[in-house]
Amino acid sequence: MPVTKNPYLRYKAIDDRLRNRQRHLPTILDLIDACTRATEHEPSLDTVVKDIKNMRKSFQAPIKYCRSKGVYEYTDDAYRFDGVGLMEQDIDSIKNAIELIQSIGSSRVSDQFEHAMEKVLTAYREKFPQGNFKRQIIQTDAPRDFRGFEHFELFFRAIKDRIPVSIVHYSYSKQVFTSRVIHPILLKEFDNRWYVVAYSEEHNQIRTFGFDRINEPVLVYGDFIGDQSPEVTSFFKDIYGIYPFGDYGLQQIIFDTIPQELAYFRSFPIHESQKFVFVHNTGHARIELNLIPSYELIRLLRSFGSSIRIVEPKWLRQEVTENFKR
Amino acid sequence: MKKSPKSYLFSNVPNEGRSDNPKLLRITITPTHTKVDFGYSTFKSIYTNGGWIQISPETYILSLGNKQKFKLINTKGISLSPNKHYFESLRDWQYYSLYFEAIPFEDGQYNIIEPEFMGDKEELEAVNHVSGGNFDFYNIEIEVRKGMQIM
Repeated sequence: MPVTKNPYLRYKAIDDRLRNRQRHLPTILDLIDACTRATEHEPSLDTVVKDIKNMRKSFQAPIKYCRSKGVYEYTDDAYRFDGVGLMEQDIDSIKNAIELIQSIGSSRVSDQFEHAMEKVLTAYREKFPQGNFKRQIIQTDAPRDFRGFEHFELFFRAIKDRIPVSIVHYSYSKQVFTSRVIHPILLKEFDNRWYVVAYSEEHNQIRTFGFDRINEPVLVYGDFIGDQSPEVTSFFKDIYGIYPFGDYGLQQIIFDTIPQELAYFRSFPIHESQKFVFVHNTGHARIELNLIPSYELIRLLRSFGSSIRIVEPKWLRQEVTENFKR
Repeated sequence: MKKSPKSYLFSNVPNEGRSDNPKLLRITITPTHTKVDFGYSTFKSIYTNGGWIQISPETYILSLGNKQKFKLINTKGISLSPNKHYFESLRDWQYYSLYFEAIPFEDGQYNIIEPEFMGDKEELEAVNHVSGGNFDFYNIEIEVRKGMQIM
């Protein structure tokens, strides 16, 4: 946002002028003048009037207009617009956090967060100028505006405040719509996709729902069922991805890899259970995983093509190689 | 007529639709309108590209108790006939909502009727014959105790 359009800088200018006891109480023209000095841009009368309204509403600023004298004043001397005591390192941390969230988060979350933080930072803007605040330092490949991400805030609130949610779910595989009431427990991100883990009344068990398959979630009153049990967190600890493949449970998965892939598996373990059974001096290696097989794991293993060979279990070898050819 | 100042949502409302495609998913009763949510999947379509959907502006809710009609007042996600919402494949789907005048917040049975087909009657019958599709829904049962108050 250009400095001239940043309302917070004007709010700060208005606040400073109202608290300046060395000068007479300001008229609206005095406040316009204060804003002009602060932003090097003259705001319109309407803009400053709206700013005062916003300060009253958003910052609970006790600004009173005295009709007889045509001046503005604070009715509460104890009020402080910059009432949050932040140290320089606090400001830096907040700026870094905003920047980090802008980089790794999605637009809706980071925008809201930034809006709230800008309020806090406003009072300190003079001491801590914006500088390269908007300069991008981190770039991720998280897609923006993918289907369903608009539900993030609603589910976040549902989990935080323990609120049941009515959803319409569309199953890509069955091509069927269902109406369900779920009790969200956890938001899960995997491979740039977001999921809500929830107790499903219809299934009478905990299920995972992709945001992209959910239509129009609605918060409803009702008793909340389900808690963030240890089973939920341990389930995701033991799986690569989201959706289990079959009912195999925890499996020992062994595969061989060619030398060219060795560095990759060393640098990027598939899962925390990954172990090297042996590494031959040629670079050929045998790798072991202990996890719950998932669709996402099978997709990953297939992506290596002939660079790996599944040794155990046999059903997985068949699934990764033979069934892939269908 | 009893009107609640609050809004209530009914999930998986019992009904006797002629098919499950489109599927009646939810009904929301508010003081100002009744919203009915549907889901349609193209997997049964006889068209290779999934065909199309539309809804007549004359569609209404009929109270089986006092025969009162509640007119369609808005739609979301579906075209009003003669316009059509076209699909691209047999793997497409559409979630859509019809907004009707507010029905009372009390136990009752209703039909949702699309009275006339604005396009080619023969084409509609041919499509319905193959896909089993028909829009009308009968004996939709609203039980107040099953409603969930919307937050």
